[in-house]
Amino acid sequence: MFCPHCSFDNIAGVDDCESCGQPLVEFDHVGSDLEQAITSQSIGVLNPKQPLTVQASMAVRGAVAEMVARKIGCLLVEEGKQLVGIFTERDVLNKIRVDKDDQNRPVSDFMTPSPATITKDDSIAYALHAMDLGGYRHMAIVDETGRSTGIISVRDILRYLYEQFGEVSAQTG
Amino acid sequence: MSAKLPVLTSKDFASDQEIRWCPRCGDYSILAQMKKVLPGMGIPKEKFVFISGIGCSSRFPYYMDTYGFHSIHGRAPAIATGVKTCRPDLQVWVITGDGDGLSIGGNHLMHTIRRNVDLKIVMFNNQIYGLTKGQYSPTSPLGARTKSTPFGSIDNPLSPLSIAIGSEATFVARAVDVDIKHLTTVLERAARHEGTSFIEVYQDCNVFNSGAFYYASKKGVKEDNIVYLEHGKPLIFGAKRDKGIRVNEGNRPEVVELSSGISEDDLLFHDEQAPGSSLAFLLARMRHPEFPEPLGVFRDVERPIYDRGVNEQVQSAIETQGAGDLDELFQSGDTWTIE
Repeated sequence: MFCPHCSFDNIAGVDDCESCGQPLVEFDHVGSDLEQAITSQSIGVLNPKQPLTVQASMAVRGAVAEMVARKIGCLLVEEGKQLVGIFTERDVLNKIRVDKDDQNRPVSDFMTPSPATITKDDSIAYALHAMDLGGYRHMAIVDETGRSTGIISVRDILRYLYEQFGEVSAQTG
Repeated sequence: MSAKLPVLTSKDFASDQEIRWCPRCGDYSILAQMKKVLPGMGIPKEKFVFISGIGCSSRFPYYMDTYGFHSIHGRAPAIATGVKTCRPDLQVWVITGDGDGLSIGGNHLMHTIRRNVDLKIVMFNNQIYGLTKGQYSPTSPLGARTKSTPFGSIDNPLSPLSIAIGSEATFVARAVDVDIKHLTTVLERAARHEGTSFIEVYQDCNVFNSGAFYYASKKGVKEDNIVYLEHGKPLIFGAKRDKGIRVNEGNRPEVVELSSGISEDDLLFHDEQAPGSSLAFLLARMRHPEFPEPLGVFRDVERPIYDRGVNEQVQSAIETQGAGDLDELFQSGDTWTIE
């Protein structure tokens, strides 16, 4: 569990924080096992995939080809190393006109700029909330400098919840 | 013969109630630090009172083994004023949040502060309504997308410290939930202040507004984003302590590099006891990312205290007019019988 005093990620069940020595016993929580899991576990437990990134100047044709080739529904768009947008299959379906010359225009013309992001230390519950709030199917994970380090999809969350339900059922017999 | 007070520890202040905050909520740290501070006050346990309003933070009194009152939305300052005025021997704490204290309770908060009632007010600021699952609060930043602002907030946020200073607070401070040593120091200072103490605590709501204060709490990041206030010392910050705050010719603060021919003597020196509140207000207006945000005690001054004034007036009236009789008062003047 995360120490509420210093945020150190301790092994579950320890009595005192390994980092600051503060007692943790009194912080045992109430609530269902699922509530416990989604609020106490971090995005990191989803083993986020490395994101596929493209430069903002890349032509849409190339970006779509990458998505098809790799069987993914989402690209992160960067300028240099900085995340500037997200380009998804929804953008392809809703924004690109097949009868126009859109395929040669830069991906930055069609991406969702300044996307909502999360960090690997954020809780599963927060990711769920953010995805529900924004109607997102993918969310980029960034580090302290704003660089993308991973990506999660609603599929990852569903898989996680399915596994949690399995554990809950096993515990409750 | 003198009675010996029992030696209290933080465990003496832990109640038997199950804590119902989300795991990893910043509230835990504030609770833990409070339990560490109170034993050192030299006050019997039964003399502490915690009064709260409504919200996640307001569950605080349940988790302290002291007297307490989980009261009405926004009205904790008013109820606490009554408690402290009737029982001046108690140390009375008010626990509130940015929604409880600044929205529905803004009026009560302002008047409690300006009266300088001897209360210790701790405002947990997480910039969101957590208990009701993620609506925007009076401190949510412009553009914040929440359940109640799906296209981004267009409300200009309030600064809790600006409100407190504008209400003539005599003690104003800011701390961060997970910065435990500093938070402990600030709570101790607030507890010992005579008059209203107002503390804003940056508190992470890890479910509905995660990371709102990472810039001020994450190691490796916060060093360039916060500046610790120390009375009589210059404002220096940065991972290498190579930056400072200077007030320029236009009386505006600016960030300067200490290596560029500017010495510490050129910087702004903190004076928490300045008679006027201008310096404290200037510091309270320094916001990330334009400035490092100050943490610590902004202002600590003396002013007549409301509850003492009330009790002095009562005592004086008793001495000159007698103790009085409530029933006699009730029956005096224009009374009539409705038949």
